[in-house]
Order: sequence, then structure tokens, then C-alpha cells
Amino acid sequence: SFWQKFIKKKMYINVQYFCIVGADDTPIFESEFGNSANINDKYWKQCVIHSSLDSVEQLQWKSQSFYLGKSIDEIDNFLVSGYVTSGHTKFLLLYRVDNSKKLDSKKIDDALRSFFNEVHKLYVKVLMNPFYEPNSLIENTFFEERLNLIVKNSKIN
Amino acid sequence: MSQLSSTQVSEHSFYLLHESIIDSYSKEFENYKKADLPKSEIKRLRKELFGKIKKIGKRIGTKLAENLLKENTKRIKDREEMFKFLAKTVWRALYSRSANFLEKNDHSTKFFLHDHVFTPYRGLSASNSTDTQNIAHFYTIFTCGVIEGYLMTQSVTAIVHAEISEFPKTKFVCSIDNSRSMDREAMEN
Repeated sequence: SFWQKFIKKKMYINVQYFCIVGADDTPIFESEFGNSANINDKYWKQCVIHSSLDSVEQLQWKSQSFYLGKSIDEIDNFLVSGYVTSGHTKFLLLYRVDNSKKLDSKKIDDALRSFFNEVHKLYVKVLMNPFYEPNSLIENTFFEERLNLIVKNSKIN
Repeated sequence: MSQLSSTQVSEHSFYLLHESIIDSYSKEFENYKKADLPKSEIKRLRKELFGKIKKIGKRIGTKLAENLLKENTKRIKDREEMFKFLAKTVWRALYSRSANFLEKNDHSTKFFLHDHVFTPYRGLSASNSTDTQNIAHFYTIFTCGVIEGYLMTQSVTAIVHAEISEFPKTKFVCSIDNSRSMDREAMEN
């Protein structure tokens, strides 16, 4: 809207790519938020996310809560953050932190935690749909729209 | 005349639906019995028909588990906690009461869930006590499926069946298969 230009939005991190991996380790949803210069960039992002699944496997049994940490894997300047639901569905977020801005690490943690909580609630809604087969592709437009809203409204991005 | 609350209405509607499903499957099974088939065939058909009810229960169990567990801040760490959650929260969501008693064997491979008044067949009665027990057995299949589904979301593969020693007291026997489970206790053995 007109006033949004004047409202200073707190941008903590730069979200690049979000992926949901089912309990049997097959991706069931993916969405790209940042800009990629060419097609190889996109493949590289997917590659980073899939390579972080190893650390997710180890951390999910040790962790006390669903949220696994703001940096379970790091390559170049890109960090991967993860979240595992009780049914072992994994949410993975690839993001970039601006090194120039000095960001409080606790604030990043809180922002990511609230983001993942919102996405979890949305995911449970998709699960409740009797026509949705668990661990199958999520092709729900409602889900996509809501996810974009969450990313926009939350403190990340 | 007291007015029923909305949860009571949905509960009763579910019990009626459950009853009519079992009724229609039992009638189908009776038809097969009349059509002189060999005993092994009848056994297979029985398993198939009532396995359908269990499948429904399993699906519902997984979804119910995810829905109820999303609000938990603490993760469920071991099998005892899993079953405590089952006996309290899941039972409350299904039957508005908690299960009465929970037992387990030494190796944590068998868990017994006791329910003194199992609600779905609280009002069931047939001509004699053995008949009642036989018919009541069908009403437990759905719940066994729900328990199996719930355990599946915790990466525990189990086979659940119910024993009715004294109607309406029910004992749900959950035999966990360690070779097919991936939770912490299975990994340690």
C-alpha cells in the first residue's frame, strides 16, 4: 500500500529457498524466494538443501524441540535452518545473512522459530485434508498463497 | 430434556457411523460365509474386509497425532511418554476420557492399554455373554488402527489387537517390532 514505503520493515535475513521434505526423504514442496541469476543457481540451492539432510538426520534425534537451529549447515554465505515435525517431516530454509549488518543472533533464532511454527500450523491444515495423501506432493494453491503471506509478514526477508 | 453440546453430537454421530460401517462389513462377510468357500479363503476375506477398517483407523491415527502434537513444546523422548500421551490426549480427543491403566513389559516391546469402560460399545448387549464378546471385538478394530497410526508417526512399527476378558473392560495389546522401528529404543537394541 501507499504507507508501506514509509513503514520501516525490519529485515533480518534474506530468504532464498524453502523446501519441505517428507518422512521418507522425498521432497514434497519447494519454493524459491530470492532471485537466481541463471538456472544453475537454482540447482545449486537445491543441492545445498539436500546435502544438509545429513545433519538434519543426526540432529533430529538429539534435539529437545522441533526447531533444530539457525545454522545446521553453512556453505559460502548461505545458511540452512531446519525444523522437524513429530511425524518426521522436515522443513528446510536456505537463507543468506548480510555480513555488513550486525544482527543479534538471538533475534534471528526467534524470527526463524516463529516462522517455522506458522508453517507447521499451515502444514497440519494440509494434512487434515482427507484427500491429501501423507508424504505426497503438496499442490495446494491455498498453501502456496498462505506461505508467501507468512514469508512477507514475518520478520524475515 | 437437556440439550446436547456440539461435541456430544459429533461423538454420537461418529459412533453411529462406526456402527453402520461395521454392520455393512459384517453383512458382507456373512454373505461370503454362506457361499461355501474353503476355510482359508474365508479367513483371507475376513482379514481383508476388517483390514479396511483398520486402514481407515491408521490414516486417522496419523493425522490426529500430527494435529495434537503440533502444540507440544517438548518433544516426546521415549516410549513411555509416547504411550502416556496416547492414553491421555489421544483418548481424550476420541472418547472424551482418558484410558484407565497403562502397563508395559520389561523390554519395552509390549504395551498394554486398559480401558475399563470402552465407550463405543458401552451400550452393546447380545443374547449371551460370549456373543457379546464376539461382536464387541469388531468394534475395537478401528481403535487398534488409530493406535497403529499414531505410533507410525513416532517411527514405531507395532501391531495392535484388543483382548476383551470381561466386557466392557478392554485391553489393547501393542506389540512393537524393533527391527522395523526407528525410534531411540529401537536403535539402542
